[in-house]
Amino acid sequence: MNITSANIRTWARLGQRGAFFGIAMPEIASEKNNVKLLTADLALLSGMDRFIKAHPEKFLNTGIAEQNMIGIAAGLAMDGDCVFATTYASFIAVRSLEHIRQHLSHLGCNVKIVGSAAGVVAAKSGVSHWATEDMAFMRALPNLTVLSAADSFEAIKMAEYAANTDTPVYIRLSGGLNCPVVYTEDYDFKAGRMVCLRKAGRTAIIATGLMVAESMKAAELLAEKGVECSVYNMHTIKPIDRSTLDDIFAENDLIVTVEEHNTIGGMGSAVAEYKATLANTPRQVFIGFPDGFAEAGSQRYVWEQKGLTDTQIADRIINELRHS
Amino acid sequence: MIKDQAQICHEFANSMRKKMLEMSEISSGPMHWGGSFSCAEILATLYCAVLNVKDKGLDDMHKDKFLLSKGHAAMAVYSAMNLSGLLSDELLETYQQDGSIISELLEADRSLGFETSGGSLGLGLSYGAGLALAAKRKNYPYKVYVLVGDGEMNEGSIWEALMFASQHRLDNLTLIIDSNGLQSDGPTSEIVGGGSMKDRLCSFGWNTISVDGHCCKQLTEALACSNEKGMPKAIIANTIKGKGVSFFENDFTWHDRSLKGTELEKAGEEVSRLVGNEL
Repeated sequence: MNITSANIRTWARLGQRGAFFGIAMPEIASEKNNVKLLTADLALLSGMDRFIKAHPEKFLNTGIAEQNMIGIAAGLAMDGDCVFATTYASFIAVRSLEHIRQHLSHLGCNVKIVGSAAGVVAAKSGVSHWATEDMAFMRALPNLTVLSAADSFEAIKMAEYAANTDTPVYIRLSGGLNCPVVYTEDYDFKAGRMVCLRKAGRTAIIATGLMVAESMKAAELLAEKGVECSVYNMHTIKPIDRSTLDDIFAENDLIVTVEEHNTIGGMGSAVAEYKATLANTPRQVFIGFPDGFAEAGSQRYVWEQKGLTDTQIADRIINELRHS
Repeated sequence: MIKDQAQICHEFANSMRKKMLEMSEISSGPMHWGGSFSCAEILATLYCAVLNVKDKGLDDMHKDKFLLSKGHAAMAVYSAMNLSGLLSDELLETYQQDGSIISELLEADRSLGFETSGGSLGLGLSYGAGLALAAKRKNYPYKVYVLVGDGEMNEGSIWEALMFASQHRLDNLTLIIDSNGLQSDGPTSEIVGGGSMKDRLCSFGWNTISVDGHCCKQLTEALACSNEKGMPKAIIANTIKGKGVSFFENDFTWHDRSLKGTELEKAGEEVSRLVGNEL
């Protein structure tokens, strides 16, 4: 992959899904003969045109039948193929859950499931097209690695990582076109290793997905008000990065987890589960979708209902610090 | 020739029934008698006359894939594999014991020849279609056989896979329906029957054959004949749930139940007579 500032901007315009399927996958398939790409009738909306043109024999539309797609993917994978299967996160992680559990989690088939439009990017479509529980479901399955991309560049890194492993992976892609940029230059992506984006003060924001960019903006707003905080990108929800968390807990007085996901079972829960095993750790504030749905509207409108915008995150942190 | 082989299959099926009753002596809990006894001839025909899995020299590209989607008939598969020399007596004696690989419902263990887990219904045909598609694309000669129950045909994902298989012309894929007419709560026709299964499968683009599922000659002919070019094959094997033991037969309460008191002895006598009659 040719990493230049211009390319990073182009990938951002394409969004996580466009970068993943339109940029990363065609290139990966050129290098790796055993890669296959399956979709449940979302090829065009996922930006797969280039892939289909370059690698027709590696592409398969299994139809609007998400459960069957997972079984087909598992069958194809048993002979050494590395199979990527994708549709919206709301369908792949929820409707196909049991097939994923049996074939990927238990049998260990080498299938990479890519859930696109996770969170509430399909905000106007309403709840059916939102995925705010997918990390909870995927994280509870043994043997699955669970990744959540902060921007388009990271989505590309995840595609490359997944293609080079032989175990099942869930990749959560969020946002639509024009994805906010977190990484303006190359960085070291290691699955299972959090990335520190900003380090200051004794408050640590741990964010994932689109909330990483939002948290970075919140940290700027806080800095303008004289409140310093660190921001970490937790791109791997499972396995969780215990050693970095140990350092974060030791160096901070307040932990704030931010995710475009239900606060039950997601990234914040993963952090809390580990934190609960340790003595003398700082308090944690959960920012995400409190248990419950929201009214449809623009993505920012939905975020505002849940307190997920940059200004709301900053205000919440100021309030929490005041009451600490 | 076929008659001889059919006779061997029949004897094998009844030996399987005998073996399953022996297994109940080491099992501590209920067992799936109805659905295991109904498919004895199907499995006997597969293991004696169709599958090439007994040839240990074959690699994965050549070795046929048998998937037990109706995982509750696991004990029937264990008994068939044991009698075929594919599962040791030692392992069979661990049936349903703590930590055993051979559990009440079939769990995948490819080293033992269990291609997939079958406990949750409706999953096997999708996986089988994936294996069949992989073979098509790579020109592997293996064939894929998936055994489901007629109650299992209630599952929506089965129909997704049926559509997929005909669309992709998977003529290396065979679906066998153990059509014993009963599911856990009663007659399949009264729960979600839906009319002729054969018509439905034909309309989904499957080459569909209906046979007496306890007649090994009919089963052998249906399984051995080549699929029509470009069409997956479905065999509706009409069976009797619990076949072979009078009080199991056509009684859905024997779907999953423990043998109590003298029941094991009575069942044993009936099955011994079946085995004896063949000698």
